[in-house]
Amino acid sequence: MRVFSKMAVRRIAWALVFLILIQAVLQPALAARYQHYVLDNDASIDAQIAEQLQADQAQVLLLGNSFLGEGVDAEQLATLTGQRITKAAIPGSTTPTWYLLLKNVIAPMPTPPHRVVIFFVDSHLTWPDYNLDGNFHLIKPYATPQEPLLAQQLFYLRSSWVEQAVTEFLPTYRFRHQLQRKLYWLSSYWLGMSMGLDAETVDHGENVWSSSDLRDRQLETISQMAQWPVEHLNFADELPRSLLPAMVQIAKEEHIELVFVRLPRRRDYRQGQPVALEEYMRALRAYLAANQVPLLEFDATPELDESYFGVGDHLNARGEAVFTQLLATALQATAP
Amino acid sequence: MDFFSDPFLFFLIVTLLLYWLSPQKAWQNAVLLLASYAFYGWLHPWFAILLALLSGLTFCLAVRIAKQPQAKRTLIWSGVLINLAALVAFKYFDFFLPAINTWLRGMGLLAAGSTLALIVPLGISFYTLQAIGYLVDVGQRPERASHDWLEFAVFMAFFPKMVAGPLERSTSLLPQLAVVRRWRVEHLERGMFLLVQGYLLKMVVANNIAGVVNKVFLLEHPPAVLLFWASLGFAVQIFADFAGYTALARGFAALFGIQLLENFKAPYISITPAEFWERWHISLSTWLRDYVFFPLQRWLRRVAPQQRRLFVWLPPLVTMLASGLWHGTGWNFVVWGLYYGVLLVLYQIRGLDRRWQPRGARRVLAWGSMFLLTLLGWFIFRSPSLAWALGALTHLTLGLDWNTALFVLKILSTYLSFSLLIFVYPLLQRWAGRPAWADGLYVALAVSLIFIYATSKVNFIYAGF
Repeated sequence: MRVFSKMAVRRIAWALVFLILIQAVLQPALAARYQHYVLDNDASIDAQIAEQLQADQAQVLLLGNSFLGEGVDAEQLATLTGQRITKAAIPGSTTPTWYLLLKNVIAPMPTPPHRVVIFFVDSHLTWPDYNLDGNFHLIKPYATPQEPLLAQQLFYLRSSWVEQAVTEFLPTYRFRHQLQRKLYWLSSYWLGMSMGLDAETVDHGENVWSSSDLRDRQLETISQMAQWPVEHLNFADELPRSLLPAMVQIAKEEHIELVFVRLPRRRDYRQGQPVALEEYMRALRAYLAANQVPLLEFDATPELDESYFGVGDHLNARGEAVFTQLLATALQATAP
Repeated sequence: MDFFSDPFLFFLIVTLLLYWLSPQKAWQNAVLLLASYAFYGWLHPWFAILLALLSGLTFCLAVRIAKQPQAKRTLIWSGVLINLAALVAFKYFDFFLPAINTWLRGMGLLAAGSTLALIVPLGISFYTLQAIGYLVDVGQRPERASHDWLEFAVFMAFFPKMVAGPLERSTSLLPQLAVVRRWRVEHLERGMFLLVQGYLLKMVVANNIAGVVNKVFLLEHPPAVLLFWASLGFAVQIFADFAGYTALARGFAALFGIQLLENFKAPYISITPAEFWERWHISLSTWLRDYVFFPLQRWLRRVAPQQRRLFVWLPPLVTMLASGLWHGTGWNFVVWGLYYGVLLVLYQIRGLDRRWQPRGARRVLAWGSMFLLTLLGWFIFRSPSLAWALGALTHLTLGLDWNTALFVLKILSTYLSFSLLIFVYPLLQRWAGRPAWADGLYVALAVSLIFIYATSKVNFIYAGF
């Protein structure tokens, strides 16, 4: 029996030739259109938050994501603490965004706020790639063309040589997040658009159903998302691969007082909390204490029972009022 | 270690090199065995120990059956019961746990809450059935017993089929392991096409359609229109998911010069439930047919020869109940299995069996009816729970409003975009005498698309069963 069949060899060879051709043609086209979520940054920095801080002449900046957005009433907090406060709640953001804001927006300001209060969930301070896949827009506005630490912590330390090679040579992989978004958009709306309906109109139907009928099961799903991957709970391993030391260092150099706030969580989410998270938190407390960085913990605060939460871990209006009050007291207690 | 990880890629390359450099059959089988146990033990060392124990026991029992055919009944039953006990103990323990706890508490033996919980070994549903089938085969034809423990151990543990089948037969896989495999470029070519097809079905088709299907099944009371489209989407999703996995398993096996069984033959063109099960998850349905349905029918004929009706309704009901239970411990799986059992009985009573071949409009009607019944089955199967399914059905509204229509438009747009990809390769295969570049272009385009949706976070539906 022959080891090499001509037809089989031809098919394999054609597949390789076409693959190389397709990727070679796509490389310049995609590179001109998209950027890699960590490796290719442009020069522009969004100055909106800096302008807001200056306009407010803020002494305190509250930095976080939608949990902060819905959990803290900045005006009420300002009244309670007697300080000028600016709130920057960027939905979906985590440490890469906050690190870049601290380094590229806040630190270069002529008069930066005295205090930057960062709101986080459990182990997210040392989990920089959390929620970042496909969310380039969260870091792009605050990144300079050269972000070696970001590239190292988010790409080189967290991907294998195979993934790095594929990222380098296959543009459909390198720009997969952007292509996925584009294909999602095309596949979801082409039918509606062919009938003269725009994406917003098409989405309206789903949104109506989701908002009116989803609640219970959505909570179930979010609850599943509240799981804690064990690989992210070894503080000693995760710290050198995170952006936390850099954030602490920048704050020290710029004489900005950094305060971390561990956000409240629903009781039913906390029921499945692993022992490793407690060990992780002990190590985080020790690290922050050694660096004289205050940590305020509200994850299990008894004042906020289930009735103070809205969707998922987000506080509702009542929860916001109570949490703002608690936060004001805690911030005043830690004021220098 | 799964099919989408870097460690698996490294593991595969090393295993292939060692395997094809092995000059003898025994060496090749030894490489496959070591690799398979490394693959399985990587998931959990305990999984590999259990597999080794059950494989060893089944092998010894089969050898004894071959040597002492007069004791075969006892030996077969011992093997069947031990394998079944392992399956039940690990897979269904949690299902019965609340009842066991209540009973233990009633006896005063348990103060509070359960301290017992077992991890279900991945693939146990597949390899225990494989062992049972082998023992029954050897009981019928003792000369089929394998006397080479290495071959048998590979037959049980061969890693491409470990997580979700196909459920291999000894008559198909063991003879392939009994001869030395010679490297040919066709192995690579065949493997390449199957792997591309598998990754395309799973990562592009199934995963994208799942996103839309899940949105409807997350609602509390979806209307009939949404339920219909979600069930239709799930029909596509589960096919792409499972056929994708099977193609991957067959593709990896092909790289080693081994052919695994086919699991699907266009199941959704079926016009009767019997035909559907001849086309869907073929390796399981033929196993159930040969080791549950026929033996039960023969037994009934023997013990109750006058009860002809029993022959008609009991074997399908029991077989499909077994199929439902095999799929999972939720009540929706039990009802789904029974549902197909009832369908098989009803079709059989109406005389609509395998010989029934209507033509023209009657065929279209028969296909349409069967397809709708299949969708109802998938609705039961996919429902988060039986209570949810009943709740959704009892609160059912039609959903003929503008917002639902917009939602359907988005769902339909997604389905049409991705499900059409399923047909590309089968259509290409129908092009007789096609040039080599056409196949090459298909592979290159498919790989480019797969890389867009590449992710290491992949769960197969059937790996959970």
